[in-house]
Amino acid sequence: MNAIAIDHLTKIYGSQRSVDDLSLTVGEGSVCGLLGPNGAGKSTTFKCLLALARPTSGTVEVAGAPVTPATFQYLGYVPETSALYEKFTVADHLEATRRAYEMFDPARAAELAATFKLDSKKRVGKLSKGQRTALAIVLAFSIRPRIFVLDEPASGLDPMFQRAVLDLIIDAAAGGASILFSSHQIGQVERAADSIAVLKGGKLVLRGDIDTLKGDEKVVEAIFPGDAPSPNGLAQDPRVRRIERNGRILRVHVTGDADGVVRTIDALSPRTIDVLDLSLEDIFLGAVNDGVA
Amino acid sequence: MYYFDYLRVRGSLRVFAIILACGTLLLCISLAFSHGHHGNASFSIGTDTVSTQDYSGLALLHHLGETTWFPFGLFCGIASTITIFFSNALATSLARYNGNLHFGFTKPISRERSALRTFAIDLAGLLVGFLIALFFVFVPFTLVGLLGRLTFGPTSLAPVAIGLGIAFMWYGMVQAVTATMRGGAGLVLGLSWGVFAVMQGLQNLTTDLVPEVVVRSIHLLNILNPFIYLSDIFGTTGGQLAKDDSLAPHYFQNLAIVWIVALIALAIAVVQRKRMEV
Repeated sequence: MNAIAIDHLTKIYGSQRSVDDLSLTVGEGSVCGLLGPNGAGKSTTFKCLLALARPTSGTVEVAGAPVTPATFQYLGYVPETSALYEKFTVADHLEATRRAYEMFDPARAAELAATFKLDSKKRVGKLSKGQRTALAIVLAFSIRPRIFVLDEPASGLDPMFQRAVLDLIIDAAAGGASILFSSHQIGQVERAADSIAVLKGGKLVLRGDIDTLKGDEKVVEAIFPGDAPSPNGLAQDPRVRRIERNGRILRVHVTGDADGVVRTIDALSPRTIDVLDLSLEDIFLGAVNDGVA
Repeated sequence: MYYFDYLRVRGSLRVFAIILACGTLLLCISLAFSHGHHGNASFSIGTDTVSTQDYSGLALLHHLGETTWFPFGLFCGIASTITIFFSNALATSLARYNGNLHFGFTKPISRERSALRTFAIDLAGLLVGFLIALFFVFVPFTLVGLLGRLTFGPTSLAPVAIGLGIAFMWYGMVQAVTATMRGGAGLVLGLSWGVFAVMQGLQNLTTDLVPEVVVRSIHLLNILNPFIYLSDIFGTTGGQLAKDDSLAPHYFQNLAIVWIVALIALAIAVVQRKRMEV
C-alpha cells in the first residue's frame, strides 16, 4: 500500500490550471522530494492532498483511504507559510497540539523545542520567520506521525537549523515514516530523498529514484574566454543527452564514456574543461529548463 | 483548535471585566461626589419628592431605594444589554483565524465539529460575560445597601433568555457573513451597527410616506434586526418598566425568533466553513 497516492489530480483556479493531471505515489517508508520552480503547483498539490482544497478532478489517498479528520492523527504537516496563531505563545501551541493528538509526545516536543532554541513563553508574533518554521516543525514531529507532508520545511532557517531539519527527516525515514516534502534547496532533497518528482506548470515532468535518474550520466563543463561556441556535430552524438550554453559556459550531458566529447570540446580551446558527476540540480534544471541549446 | 478558542474567550472576558470594573468605579465615584452638581432639581418617585442638592448621588440612590422596589429582572436586563455589546467581541471568532487554516484545518477534528466547538465556547463566554456584567451592575446597588429592596417574580429571568438570545442572534449573523472572510470581518461587524440602527429607524415608516410593499419589506427584514428586540429585554410597554410578573407583548414569539435566527445563522456559518477552500 502506498502512503500517499495522487491519481490524475487536476486543480483549476479560475482559468489557471495549477495542477494538471498529476499522478504520484509515495511508498511506505520512502522519502519523495517534490521539486519545481515557483508556481509549479507544489503547494496546490499539498492543499489537495490535505483536503484544504477540493480537486477539480482526480483523487488523493493517504494510507489507502481518502483524507478525513482522522487521517491527521498520523499525518504531520508543515505548511509553506506560517499558519500559527500570532497572539499565542509557543507553549500555547504545544498545549493545543497535546490536546488535539493522541500520539503527542511531550518529551519529544521539549527536546525539539530545545534543539531549535524556542522560548516557550514567547508569542508567535514575536518570533522570526525561521523560528515560526521551527515551531511548525516541532509541532509536526512531536505527534510522531507515520506520514509527513512538509512544504518547504527549512524555509527561513539558518544553515545550522536547516541541517537539524534534514536530520529529522532522515531520522523519521529511518524509523519507517513516509515523507513527501518540497524544497528549493536541492542539496537537501539530494541528501534526504530517495526519489524525486519535478513539477512544472502544474504538470509532472520528471519522476524517479535519484540513483536511477543519475544513472551513468556525466556533465562535461567547459568555460570559454568569450561566449561559448556551438559545438558542431555534438548534438548528433548518441552519447550526448543535452547541451546547455549559458554565456561563457558550455555544459554537455553525456551518457557513458565522455572522452570523445571532451576531445571535441577541447578542440574549441576552452579556458577550462571538467568532467563532473551529474548532480540532482543538473537533473532538476534539465527537467524544468527549456534553455537547451 | 478549541484550546485557542478557550484562551481567546478568556482573554476577552478579562478585558470585558476590566472595562466594567473601571466603568463601575467611575460610576460610584461620580455618584459619591455628584452632590449638587446638577443644580437644585426636585423630582418625585412615588409619593416622595427629593432634591438633588440635598443628597450625593449614592445617598440619593439610597433614599430613592428606600421608597422603591427594584425588580430583579431590571438588573438582569441591564446585564443582558451589556452582554449584547460583549457578543460583538466574540462575533468574528471564525474569521479571526482564517489566516491560520493550514494549521486549524489539518487537525484530527472535522471542520463542522471545530466550528461548533467554537460556538459552544463563545456561548459559554457570553454566559460568563452576563454573570460578570450582572455582578458589576449590582455593585453600586449593593454599596448603598439596597439589596433588600429587590423583588423577584416568575419572569425575573425572562430578560436573560431574550437578552442572550439577541446577543447570540447578532453573533450568529456576523459569523454567517464573515465565516470565510480573510479580512474585513471587523468592518462587517461595525457596519452591522449602522445597518441595524437605520433599519430600526425605518420600522416607523408608514404607508402614508412610502408604498406598502416597502413598509412590508422593512418589517420583514427587521425580523433579523437585533435592535428591534431590545425593548423585550425590559418588557417595556409605553415606557413603563415591566413588573416581575409580566412580560412584554409577543415575548415568547420574539424569544423564539431570536434563538431560531441565531441557530440558522450559525448553521449557515458551519456549511460555509465545511465548503471553504484554503
